[in-house]
Amino acid sequence: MASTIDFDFRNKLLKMHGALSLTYCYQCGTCSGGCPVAKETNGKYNPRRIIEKSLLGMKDKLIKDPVLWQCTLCDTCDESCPQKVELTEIFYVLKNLAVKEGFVPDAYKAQSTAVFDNGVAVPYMAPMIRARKELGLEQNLEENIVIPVQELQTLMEATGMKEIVDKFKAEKSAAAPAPKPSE
Amino acid sequence: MTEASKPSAGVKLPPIEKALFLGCVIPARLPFVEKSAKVVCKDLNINLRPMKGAACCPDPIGIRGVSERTWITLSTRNVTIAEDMKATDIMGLCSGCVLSLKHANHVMKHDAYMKAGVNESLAKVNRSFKGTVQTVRHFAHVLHEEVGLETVKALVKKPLVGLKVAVHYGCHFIRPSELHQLDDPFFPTKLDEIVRALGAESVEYTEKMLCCGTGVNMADPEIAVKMNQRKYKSIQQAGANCIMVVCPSCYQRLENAQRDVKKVFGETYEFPVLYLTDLLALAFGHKPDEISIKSHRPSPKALLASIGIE
Ligand code: SF4
Ligand code: SF4
Repeated sequence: MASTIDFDFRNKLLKMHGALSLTYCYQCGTCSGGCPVAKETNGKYNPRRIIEKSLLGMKDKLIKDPVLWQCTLCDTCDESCPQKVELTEIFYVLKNLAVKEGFVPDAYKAQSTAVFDNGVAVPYMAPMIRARKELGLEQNLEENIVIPVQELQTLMEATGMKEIVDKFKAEKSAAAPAPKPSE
Repeated sequence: MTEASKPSAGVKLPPIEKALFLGCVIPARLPFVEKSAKVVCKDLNINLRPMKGAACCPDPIGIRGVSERTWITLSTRNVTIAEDMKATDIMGLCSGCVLSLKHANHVMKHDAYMKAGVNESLAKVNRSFKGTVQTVRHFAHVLHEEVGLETVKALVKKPLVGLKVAVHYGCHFIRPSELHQLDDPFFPTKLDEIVRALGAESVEYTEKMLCCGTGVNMADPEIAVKMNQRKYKSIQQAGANCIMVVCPSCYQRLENAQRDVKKVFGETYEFPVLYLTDLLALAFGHKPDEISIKSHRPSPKALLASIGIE
């Protein structure tokens, strides 16, 4: 991967909601020093480097690299940065951009699809409904767990999630073997 | 209610009103946690009003990672449900839910540009954010700030002497600390204080502030399991006999990862994971069966029996 510096990308990033604090970074490395994922990967994952690449506008190295998703979002870096760089906010901006270009881990695709289809990340399954009854949790159980899926889908369409999930679904059906015509 | 399971009679508590935001993981996967929370809230005279039509918070890691705008719009929608109920205070049982709703409520109050954009979307479903909700708090926060530990102590019927608890704060319970305004982001004490108020011991361990790994597990389970191994090892070295959590993601991760660590590293850890509300319920004199303690894996039954709770 060529490491080209893309000033347009850098400038675009700096204008995005949540990414302005990038410019405060003086590359001290405190963020990486306290990062649990950096520790577990012997520094292969390195938040200071992600900030550096963002400042340099190295678009491809940022959004195509699966490392972007290895952050566990513990917020240790944001809390300890002497310059108050909002690292995780910046990572979210980068991730949202990566999603637009089609780079996103499967577990994220699955979760977004579930939330779009059901309105919740974890739908109610029959055994859990039984367990809830046994625990005496609700009288009108069926009534209380109705999720207004239609309303939520309207909002997800208005905020761009529908388009994203449609793409995930199209990819998935393109990858799956075609169903037999008789079925 | 049988006499034995009745909480300490005679302690009169002022009522606290809360709109309860349940989220999806607790009611759909861990109903026994919902149960212990409801049992304890009743004892504490916390009046829980259900938020009908509330949906996914949504997940501050997964959904925010895919679309920040969808994340804040759906969590603001949840806040508007409380507004429409004329509720001024929302309480959650999950650190992720509280973070999402608290963030939304804060940003919508302070960022006029974001508020205009989100309200434009919400108008499509006849909703709008008004800004009438004053607090969004985790149950543990309410316990400290509104109920008070003296009251908690007064309700203890069965001190949990003998429990050596490894408190797991979890990241989003206290961070971002500027938003939560609850505790120190590196050296928190609030949960330890509650554990001690119940008569149990809070064991100090090196990796107390290490993340449960849920975030990284979504993209790279190999890294997550290494973090978990580090955590369990530290808990074992410190001599704790159970783990306490305040978040369903941490709960599921710290239960399940004991099996993952065994598979990957061949190391066996058997720490029961208990929710804060479970410990409160037991200390307030409720029976393990009432809060379905059998649903926990590994089972806390033997441990509880060893301190006289059966
Ligand atoms: S701690 Fe802050 S200033 Fe230092 S390298 Fe990391 S982001 Fe930059
Ligand atoms: S939030 Fe991510 S980058 Fe920051 S310390 Fe935690 S794992 Fe590392």
